[in-house]
Amino acid sequence: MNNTSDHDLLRLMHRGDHAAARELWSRLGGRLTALAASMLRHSAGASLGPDVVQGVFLKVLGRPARELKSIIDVAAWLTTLVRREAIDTRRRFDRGRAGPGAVMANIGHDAGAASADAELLSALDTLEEHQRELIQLKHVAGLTFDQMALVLEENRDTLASRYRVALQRLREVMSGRESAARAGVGRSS
Amino acid sequence: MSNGNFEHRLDALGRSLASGHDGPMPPALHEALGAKTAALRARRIGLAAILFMMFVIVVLALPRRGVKDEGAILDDLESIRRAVAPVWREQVKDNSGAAGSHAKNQSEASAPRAGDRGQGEAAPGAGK
Repeated sequence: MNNTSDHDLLRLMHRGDHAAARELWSRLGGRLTALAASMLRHSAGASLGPDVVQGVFLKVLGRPARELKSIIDVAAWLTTLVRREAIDTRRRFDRGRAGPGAVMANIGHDAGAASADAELLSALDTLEEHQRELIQLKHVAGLTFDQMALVLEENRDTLASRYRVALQRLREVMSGRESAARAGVGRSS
Repeated sequence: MSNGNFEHRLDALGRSLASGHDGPMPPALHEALGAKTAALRARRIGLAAILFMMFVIVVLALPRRGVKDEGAILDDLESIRRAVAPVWREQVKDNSGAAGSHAKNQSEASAPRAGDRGQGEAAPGAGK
């Protein structure tokens, strides 16, 4: 199964092959769940990330087999489905939420974030939505620019340019925070 | 911090987030796969049953129907022949009455009578 392509694994999983489904999950499940969790971190809650990805895999099983033949890139296609599902979940939550307390209660439930660089994550939060999404797709979902172009249905070079801008913005935020921290340390000493 | 280093740091963050969610496939997906396998098996059995029925119809039922149809067609042809024969005889009589006497005599002598169509081959002067 290790040498089998993602396309073949998806096709086999669609026929009910458990081993193929396990292999596909081990290849993409973690990244996709992390993406969904990071997209939902400030609204419905990162704990819904696994549910979103599981729901997407279940929906894939119900899709017609001919649809699977037209897929260009399996990772990009699954990321597209997870992204849409996460956006829908976020909208549903935003419509039905009781108040800001519900949002705050969900932050910090991300299992992956516990060991991650909290400073970098909070700097990511300062970016605009579309900039944050590019960073998430590139580094959390682990997509290439070609795959990102498939997911967002935009030109590859345009996305690469926007990504560089987002990266620059993130660097500025991080530099500003580090300078402020150094200045704070200098004053206290 | 250079862009390259910064990207490596983001990559590490992404890997860290992903590893936090690595784990076995959820049980619900296992159940769905089992249901899918069962549904596909049932579909294959249904398809095989349909193909078998089609085979039975083609191999056993259709040839008998063909023989039956052939007999019915022959019966139909016979009844048509019986219905048409008296009319045909009348027609030939009328034609022969209206023709010239010499030509009529010649045609009557040489040609077999229309009413005797079934026995025409056995008529004298037919070459056998």
